[in-house]
Amino acid sequence: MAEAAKVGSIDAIREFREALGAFVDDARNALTSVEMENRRLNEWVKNTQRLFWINEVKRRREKMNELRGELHRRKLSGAGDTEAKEAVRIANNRLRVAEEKVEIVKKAAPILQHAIDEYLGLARPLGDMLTGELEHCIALLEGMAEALDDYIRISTPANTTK
Amino acid sequence: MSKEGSTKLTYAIKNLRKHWENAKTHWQDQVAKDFESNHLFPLETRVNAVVRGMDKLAEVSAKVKKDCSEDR
Repeated sequence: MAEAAKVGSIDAIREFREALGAFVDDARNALTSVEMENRRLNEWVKNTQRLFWINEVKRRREKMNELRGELHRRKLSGAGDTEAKEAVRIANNRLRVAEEKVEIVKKAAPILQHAIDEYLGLARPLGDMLTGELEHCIALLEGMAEALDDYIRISTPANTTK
Repeated sequence: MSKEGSTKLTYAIKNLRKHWENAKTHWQDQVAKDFESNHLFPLETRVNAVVRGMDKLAEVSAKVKKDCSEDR
């Protein structure tokens, strides 16, 4: 024989059903916001920063060539070249940094993609659970509360005259 | 990537557990026990794994952002 239902408060079941509904919404929002952030960051690394650093290499190379020309002119004219040499050194460092950044960005894209894929491997089953199982649970809890309401109504006819 | 997602999710599951503990004081039959073991415990396990995944992703993302940005 099945065990009798032991429910002291139908409202408590309804309150929990509401809390479960709120949880599903909150969890979906959290998953969606992370997913959107992932997309933005992926786009930023793969396109925005990749192009930015490629352009920086070009710009900084032009600047360094310009400063080298200036240094060459100063040497030919016999003018002091200390400042021009320093400017070339700084420009050269800046060019090297940009060239390194091009490589760093290139390597960062698959690292980020791998981390996102790992995360999605955990997040997708939860997303499926929110959509399938938990929505079913919400419906089940409501059905249970309604059945208990009906039971009370039937077993206490006096209440129906109110 | 901020830790906002994992903070929200952690808060949401803790809040759900709190509501469940309250519901349990009024609902104490086998259906309630089955509901907890078949749905709530697996949900908490899954959520905790996602929270850890979010935190790990946030660390990787922060490093990627720093590495790919212009040095200040």
